[in-house]
Amino acid sequence: MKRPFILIVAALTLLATAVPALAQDATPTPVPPICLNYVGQPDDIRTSYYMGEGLGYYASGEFSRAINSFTCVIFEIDANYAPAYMARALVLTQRSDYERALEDYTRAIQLNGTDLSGYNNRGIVYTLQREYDEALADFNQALELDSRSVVARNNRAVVYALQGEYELAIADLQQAIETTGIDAVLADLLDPEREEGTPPIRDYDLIEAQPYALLGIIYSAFALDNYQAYLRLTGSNGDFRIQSAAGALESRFTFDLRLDDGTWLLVADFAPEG
Amino acid sequence: MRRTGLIGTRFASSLPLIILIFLIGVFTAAAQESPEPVATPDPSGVTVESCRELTERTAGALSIRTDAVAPFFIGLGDAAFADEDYTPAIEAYSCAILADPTYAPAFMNRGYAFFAQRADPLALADFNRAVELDPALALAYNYRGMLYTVQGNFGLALGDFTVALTLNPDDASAYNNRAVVHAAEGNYDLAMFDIDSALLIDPEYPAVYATRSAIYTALALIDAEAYRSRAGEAARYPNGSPIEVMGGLESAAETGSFATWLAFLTRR
Repeated sequence: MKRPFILIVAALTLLATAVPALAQDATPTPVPPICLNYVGQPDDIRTSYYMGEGLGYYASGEFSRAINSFTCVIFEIDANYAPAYMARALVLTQRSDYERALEDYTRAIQLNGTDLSGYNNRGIVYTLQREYDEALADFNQALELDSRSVVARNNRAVVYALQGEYELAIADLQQAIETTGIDAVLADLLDPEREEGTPPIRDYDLIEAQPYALLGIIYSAFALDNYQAYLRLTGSNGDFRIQSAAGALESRFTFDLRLDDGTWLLVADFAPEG
Repeated sequence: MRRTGLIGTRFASSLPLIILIFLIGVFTAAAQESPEPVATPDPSGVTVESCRELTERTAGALSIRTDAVAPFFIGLGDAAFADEDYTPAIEAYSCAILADPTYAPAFMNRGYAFFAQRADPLALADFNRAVELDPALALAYNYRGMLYTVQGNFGLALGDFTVALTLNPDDASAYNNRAVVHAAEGNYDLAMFDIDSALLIDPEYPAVYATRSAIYTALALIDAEAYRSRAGEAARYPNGSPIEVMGGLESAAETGSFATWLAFLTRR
């Protein structure tokens, strides 16, 4: 009689300890890695080594090892080295480990609060978590630090669009175009008098073109809203061409043009010097 | 007990040889010219521009801008090497050399990557340059010793392993590697002495157990031959050849049976 009782107690104890463990995030709690390379060398050498190693592992798709390398910098060498937090956060974001990524970005911001990349990249994680107010706060802060940042302005426009604030999104994108002056490049490229093969009036980054893509998506979203308003008012008597156009756009927003999957957001560079 | 005694005797008789090898190693290292900050011809063909591109490709992928110093490139190279991607590893190590032509670990690591590709002359040139730049770089001697071992230059290999151990007496891998050379030369007692030293430093080092297992196998073959030479060519082994005994022992480990041993009972 005593034995079954002991077994039941043991089973309950096991269950009680297992349940909190099962409730935890799928990613295990990080264990400090063993960082034996360049032991005894100056900190800057070890830091450079592990940053290189981590980036090398990342390049070959070995995300866990990359995280270990950056963790070596943080745990073993310099707990205040912001680039290691930034790099680790980016890898964690790619692994959808958003909570730990947020922790790292927050720490990087504490260490280097004058660099917009920490705010911008944290804003991306908040967006991926659909915490749009927090994301907006971060993109706002990034723009406070550098109002000319196309990256932060694009990202804020995406969040505005996700909130249905199309006018605000459009204003941001138009501001981004104005800031870079990419519209002048476009005007030159569209000039009918322009000789074929002539180089653009200036070199430009592809990111500068991104606002046009987003404007297209937002105008499409706008169009879809209007089609749907029409279809709601007309019901089954609506024009079939509008029904068809609305269906096609809806399908587009389910796949290629969806704004909530993070693919339209831009990551900002982080430089140790700030 | 017998094994320990044998090792002790052989070791004592080989001690002068060890001292001689050690001294050769030390004098060879000391005789090297002082390091000169001259650019070594770069066999991988990297340029400042290609190294900058490598930095942008890797650091840029994570939106991190970083100082492209030699240890950074070595880190990149080590990550590639860990994946057995030797060519990108060599590229990264070469960039480390370009960033700092006097940085011995860059030559050492690239030498090892060349060694992994069996590009022996390039590996040797890099190991030589590494110990030239930093005569106290124990690992470089260990690596060069490995290269010499693979090439069958056992004397030079023993010298390098001994120097490596003088510089870093806690390097279990150098003990293991020297044991391999001793074993390859048939000096199993010396080999076992080095194995014991390696295990004293790191009882969890797997490679050492593999080496010792091979040495035991070699000793088993020697004793099997001793049995046959004494019992006569026509004599059968009590329980099969050493290989067959090993199979029996493997089964016995699973079943808990001691039957394999019974065939060895004897009387005079």
